[in-house]
Amino acid sequence: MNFLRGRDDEHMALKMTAMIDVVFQLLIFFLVATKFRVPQGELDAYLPDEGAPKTTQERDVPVDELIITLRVSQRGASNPDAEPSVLLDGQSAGPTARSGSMRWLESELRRLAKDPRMRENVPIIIEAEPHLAYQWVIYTLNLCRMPDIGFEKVNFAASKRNAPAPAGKSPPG
Amino acid sequence: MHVTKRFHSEELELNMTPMIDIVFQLIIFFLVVSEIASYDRVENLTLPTASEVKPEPPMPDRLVISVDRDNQIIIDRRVLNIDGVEGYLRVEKKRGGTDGVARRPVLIQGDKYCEWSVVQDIMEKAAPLGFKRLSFSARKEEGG
Repeated sequence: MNFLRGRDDEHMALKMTAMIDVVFQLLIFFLVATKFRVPQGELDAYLPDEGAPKTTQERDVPVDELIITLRVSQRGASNPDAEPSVLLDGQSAGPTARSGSMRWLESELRRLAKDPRMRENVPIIIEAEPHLAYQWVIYTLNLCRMPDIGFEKVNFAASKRNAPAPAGKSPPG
Repeated sequence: MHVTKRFHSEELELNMTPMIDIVFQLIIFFLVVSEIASYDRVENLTLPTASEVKPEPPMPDRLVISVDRDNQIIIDRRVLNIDGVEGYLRVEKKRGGTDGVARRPVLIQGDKYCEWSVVQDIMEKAAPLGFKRLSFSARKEEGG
């Protein structure tokens, strides 16, 4: 009983000052040392195997590959946010389609992807002009990865500037 | 005098409990929602947006190559030219494995306005050296 009464004594109040000091220090530290996390992720890409034989086995597909060509549009020369002009498989859309826009490419890919043989077997090759803003390549890659399009093989064309294909170079040393 | 006496009275002790609760809440909030100035971030880099990004898996051995808006290639906070990148990748490859396969996955984080040719050059240096696992960094775009 005596013990219990001792506990109720007012002198038992905890001294919080030190703890609050530390807690405030922590708070200030995190306020200063942090950056808000951007919702960021990644898109996978795989680089081709060096010297691996091209597997041109019998595939029951209408075309061997789909080439998406991205060119800097007229407006794009001054404004990197302007959409590039798009060619699919070297051919732009017919006069009826909204040729050359990303929206057109999206609908075209969606149409092609209805055929699962296309989706699984036909590689897409993205061939972008060197001066094109990087965001449009990512945009196109993202288009190919959309759940209702879902092309599995997406590659990038080698640049034509480096005349010998880099895959053929043997690393010195 | 009366005032001083009241001031010293024990009844005036502040009740700190709710304040400490709130301060702890704040600390937990900042712990969760933030990341401490990260090792692979480059200032002034605006990532392109994409809807289909996957969350970055924790890969401590990953090689981060950044390209900023002025087409400068940055690895480990150092600005390199394309030959420097090739040399760097070659050293990394030697360190990687015995079978000539570079193990480290490569993450390219390019500014949305950098030129594609810079990224293309990096890829063309990396591919023959055996860096196969490559991914591009992008900001998650809400919706599609």
